[in-house]
Amino acid sequence: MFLNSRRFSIPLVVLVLGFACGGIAAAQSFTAAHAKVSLIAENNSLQPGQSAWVGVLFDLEKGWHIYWVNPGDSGERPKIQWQLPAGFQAKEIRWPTPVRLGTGTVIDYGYEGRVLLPVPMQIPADYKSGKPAMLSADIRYLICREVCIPAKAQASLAIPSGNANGVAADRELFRSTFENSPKPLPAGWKAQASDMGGFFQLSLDTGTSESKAAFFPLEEDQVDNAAPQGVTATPRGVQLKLKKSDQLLKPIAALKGVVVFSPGRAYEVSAPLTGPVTGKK
Amino acid sequence: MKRAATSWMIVAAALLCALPLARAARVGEHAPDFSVTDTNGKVEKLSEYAGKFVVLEWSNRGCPYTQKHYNSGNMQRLQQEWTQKGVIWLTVISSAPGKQGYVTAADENSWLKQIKAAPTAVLLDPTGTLGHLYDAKTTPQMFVISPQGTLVYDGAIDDKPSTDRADIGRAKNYLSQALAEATAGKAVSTPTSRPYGCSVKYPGSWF
Repeated sequence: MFLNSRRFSIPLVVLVLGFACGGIAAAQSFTAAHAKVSLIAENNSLQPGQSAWVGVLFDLEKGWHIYWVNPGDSGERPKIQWQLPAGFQAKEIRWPTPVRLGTGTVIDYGYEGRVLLPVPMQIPADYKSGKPAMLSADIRYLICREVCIPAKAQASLAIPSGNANGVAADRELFRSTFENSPKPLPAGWKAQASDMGGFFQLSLDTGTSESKAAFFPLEEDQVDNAAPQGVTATPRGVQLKLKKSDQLLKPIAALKGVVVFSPGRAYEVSAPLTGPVTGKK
Repeated sequence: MKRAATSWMIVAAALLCALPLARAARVGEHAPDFSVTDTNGKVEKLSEYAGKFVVLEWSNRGCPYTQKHYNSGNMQRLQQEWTQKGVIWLTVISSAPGKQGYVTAADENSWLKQIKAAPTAVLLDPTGTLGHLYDAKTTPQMFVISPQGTLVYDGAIDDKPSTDRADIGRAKNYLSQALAEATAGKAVSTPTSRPYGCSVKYPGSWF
């Protein structure tokens, strides 16, 4: 307990000083349960009526992972509870492209290493440019290696911050995260899915033959996470054979998820179902 | 030559017939039989409970999702309620030796006493054979088998996938609902749901 209060008193002092002096870097991070968790912003200033990128940065201990919006067969996605100045509004996390985790019959989707979860923050129209703003969040997340630990972190960020180098590094983190995030399907591409009884056939028309692709389902109960995905190159794209989830008993209107062709080449897919639309059985 | 071909066809036909048995259990279909030793050294066979409702509960006492339901007393309450109504409740531990949740029979028996758990029996499945037969993915994960041997529920214990004990009171308990409906002779309205929790710690799994 004594150790704890000592550990947290230093960032707290920095935080208070940061506010008092105005313009000194002021971010409070939280080290607990195999991760360092902090809040960062893409820009050092906020503009009234605009949306700004802020994000929760996880530095995970080697071997540990957290989860995507759809955690897969086990696990749970991180949840953020914001404490914001009046009129500020945090939107949904823009989830970066996940990786497949696990082996055998239990497959999860998540992140390892360093991961930034960007959140668009709506700034109210009556906000005065340059006025210091304090953003705080309670972050609840499940972190697992071989075992799982439910963890809670508190992080805060004061804007503006005077630390030019720090801000540049943070901006770079947002840039690389967006680069590694699923992008909307480019104009001219097509995604379609057919219900083949025990499996879905997802067809993507990208204009060029694709030999590699992996599908990450956005909804929890559509696709069997552990089943191998049959990938077939077509002259104008790729086809994936996706086994239905055992939990899927009702017809679905669209197959939603992320298709990853290669690291950095990931796209959001919402493929309407064509053909015989039936539940499994 | 002809006889050899015929025997091959018989072998092939036998293999094809055996295939559906190798596939994991699925709701609406026959629940595969098993034979697993419990913590009292008794061999538990599903077929011996024909004519009764059977609950299978996958468990790992080190898993925070399992702990949510045991530390709150929720799981024990469900075990008491349904075994008193004649339901057979089999807790299954599929953690491999060296992995989280692996227990010896004696250790588990003293633990059961300490936490006042009330299952009919606890099955030890360190090889994961039973877990794979039912394709159990998480702890907790619940299955309900009808007296006719049909799998009528496969999924989560409730609709609040969290480690927060406070969620139990606000949750819709899928297991209770399935048992209440099935024991009243009704169709189970939610026969399957996404199980939530920790992954089952099978041999060879890396988390």
